[in-house]
Amino acid sequence: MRRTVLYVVLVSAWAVTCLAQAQGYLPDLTKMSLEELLELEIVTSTRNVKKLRDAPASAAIITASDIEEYGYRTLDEALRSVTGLYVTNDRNYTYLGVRGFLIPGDYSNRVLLLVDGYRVNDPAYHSPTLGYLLPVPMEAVKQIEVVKGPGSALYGSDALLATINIITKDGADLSATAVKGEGGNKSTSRSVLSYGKKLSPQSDVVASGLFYQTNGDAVVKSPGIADIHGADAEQSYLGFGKFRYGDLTLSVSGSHRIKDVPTGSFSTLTQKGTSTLDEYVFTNLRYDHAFDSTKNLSVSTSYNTYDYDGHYLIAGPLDSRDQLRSSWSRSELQFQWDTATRNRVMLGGTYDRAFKVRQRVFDAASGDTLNINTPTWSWGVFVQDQLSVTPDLDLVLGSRFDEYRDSDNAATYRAAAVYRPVKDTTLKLLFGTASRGPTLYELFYADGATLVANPRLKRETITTYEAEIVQRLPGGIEGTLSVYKYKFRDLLSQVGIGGGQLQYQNIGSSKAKGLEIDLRKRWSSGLALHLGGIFQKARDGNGATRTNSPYSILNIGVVAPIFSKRHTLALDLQYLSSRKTLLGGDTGESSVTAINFRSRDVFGVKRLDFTAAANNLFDERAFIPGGNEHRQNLIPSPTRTFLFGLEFRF
Amino acid sequence: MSVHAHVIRWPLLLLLLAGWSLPIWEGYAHSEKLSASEHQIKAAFLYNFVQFIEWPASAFKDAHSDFSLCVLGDDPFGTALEQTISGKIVKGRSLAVKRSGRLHDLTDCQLMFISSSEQGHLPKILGMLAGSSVLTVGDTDPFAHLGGMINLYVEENKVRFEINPQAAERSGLKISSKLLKLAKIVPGTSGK
Repeated sequence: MRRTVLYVVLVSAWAVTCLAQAQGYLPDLTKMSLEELLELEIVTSTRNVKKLRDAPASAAIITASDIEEYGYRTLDEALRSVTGLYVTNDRNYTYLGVRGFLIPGDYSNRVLLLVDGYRVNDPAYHSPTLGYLLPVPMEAVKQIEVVKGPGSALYGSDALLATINIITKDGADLSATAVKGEGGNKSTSRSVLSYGKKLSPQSDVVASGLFYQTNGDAVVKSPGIADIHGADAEQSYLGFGKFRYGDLTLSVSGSHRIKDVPTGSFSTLTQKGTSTLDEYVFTNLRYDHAFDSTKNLSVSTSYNTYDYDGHYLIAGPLDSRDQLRSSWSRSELQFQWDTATRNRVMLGGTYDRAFKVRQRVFDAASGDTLNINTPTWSWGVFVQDQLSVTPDLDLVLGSRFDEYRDSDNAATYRAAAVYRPVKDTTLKLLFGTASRGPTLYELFYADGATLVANPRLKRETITTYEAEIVQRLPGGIEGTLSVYKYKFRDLLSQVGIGGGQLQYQNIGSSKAKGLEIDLRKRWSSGLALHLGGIFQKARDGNGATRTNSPYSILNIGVVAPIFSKRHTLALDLQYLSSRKTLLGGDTGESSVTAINFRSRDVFGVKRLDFTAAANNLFDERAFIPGGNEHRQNLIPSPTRTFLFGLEFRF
Repeated sequence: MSVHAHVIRWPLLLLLLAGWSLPIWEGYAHSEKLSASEHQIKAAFLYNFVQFIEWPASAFKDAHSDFSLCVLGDDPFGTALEQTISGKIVKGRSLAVKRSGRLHDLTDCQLMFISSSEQGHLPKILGMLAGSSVLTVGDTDPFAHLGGMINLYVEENKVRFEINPQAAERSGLKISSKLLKLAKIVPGTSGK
């Protein structure tokens, strides 16, 4: 505790020193040339206020027009287009891998997901809401900001591999009522209803809801396992609403999803009957106030619930029921101050309280196997300073301290240097640490059969080093080259402990190094091209290649106008090299190709758009590695899906 | 409490050093800011437009009157106009910002920003301003096609602008070639 106090005192002293040097400061855009203004990125996130190429991080942005042109219908489809990111779908949930790390059984809990700056990762599994669990339809997303690398020094727990911030549209962005209906094979339908309006200079309202349904694949064929028929259906509804009046913003959102599980996972029968239900509700109230152009205050509080119900088909009265009931709040304060022309300080704190985290496993025959409620809390303070040492050199130093009810305290750091030696070149050196405590699921969950609890788990940490060059090449090509080195300590992972049982353990260290290349160009004709590639090696403590860690991933994205900008055809291709599976084999190489055709003002009707899309266009048979809970060593990816849609705005 | 004690110290030292040595860096000259909100950027564009466009002398009441930048309809700029351009001197005149929801409340304007709240009445408003030496600027899709002179739009998260040069010419405004070169040109509708 003494060290905690010392730490807080020192950081406060430093912060006060910075603030004491404050002087009035107005960002003077009027001194910029027209050319410079045309190059300015619009900033929306309150915690990341820099031109993208000069951001003190390895960052990528997916805009609303990318979402429209490529036809991204879920968050993971959009994220897959970011160099270094990959997605797997075990036909129950969707998981996100970053730079070679996607550990089966981790529920993507090393990725932090924020919606308009508020955290959506739940308090039990710390999972982000991917697929149709995200409570915001893609049609209502203005921008997705992806920062690869650790973000704990700003955001606390879970931000080990990446931090993703979804910025939702305002009423002013929509200024319409939009109705969209899509339908395709596998009895798939997807409909979205959105409304947005700026009511007055002070107030703005937006609401968007989505309904999605599919039968999925009629047969799921995995090598060595009996075919499973008619058990791949999914049904989701979700929606969000946001109302702003002056400095106050109230947002309410939620999602409800039922998925049939066609893998016989957790020793269930290989037939229809196993399903999971997930339901999220988020309520957030935020107050943002700009005192003048140099000082910004943001205060927010939220109340959220996440419930999960798993129905595992075993044999009538032995059918296992799995439940989570959770509710939590987060209160947050953040203050940003441009204390001098060249210095920006950010200070803040968060307080999280989980009122209820009840995990329960039961069946009709034997009653409760597990029924525990483990409410928890944590708090954290952070400070970050961004200093322009010279007009061409920025330094960022940040640090955060967190205290947790259920795991060791944590101090995390980041340091970045951004240098622009010449006009078209930006060099970045990035250092960061991040950590996460074991989740309540990893600590306490025990189903009496497969999973064994482990309350002695320790905190997992990561330390990273990265160098990046962003270079504007001849012909208007924007190129980025990054090299990085990651080191995990006390990595948390599910391991077999004999007798068919599994347990989460700190399995020691893991190292990764890699290289990323990204090239983008957009022509004035509307033609756009994106090429991305990552080459990486992620190793266990004993030097073995990690499971589900592709050596190389290549992305190709093309948006081509057809005859005019009114019609576009987009192609989105991702290639993954072979990945090692849990049982030793490998998945073989795989690729996913998606296309999206979009035509505006069709049939002579203004504001009526037509879309035609195909996912897994060539119906390639690809596999992902199964997890410990699966019977399958290889789980087949979904077959080809077509979707045709119409959207009308009025 | 098992924070890694050895890693705590050196980053802290760095942070402290950075904080305490700030006064040294304060001596540096002002640098350009690299980011801003959409409406701060749009406000800066308005300021630039004023620099790159010539108004006839008849556009002003007299040699000492203000340069009036008027906002018609709901003001999307918030405090951005005041922060960015209000009080600045342009072409020997001080810049003043006027706002109203009704066109006839806005007199002696040299630049009229027509808010998206007026989108439904655009043809009527532009018709009423036609022929007067008022630069019309908007940020709605069809603005320049309907005869508005400059339209601000967002593409790839950056603010861009399109110009309808014929509309400006008809009002006696001279747009510099530099501005035209950076703009997307929207052909004017003949005589309308």
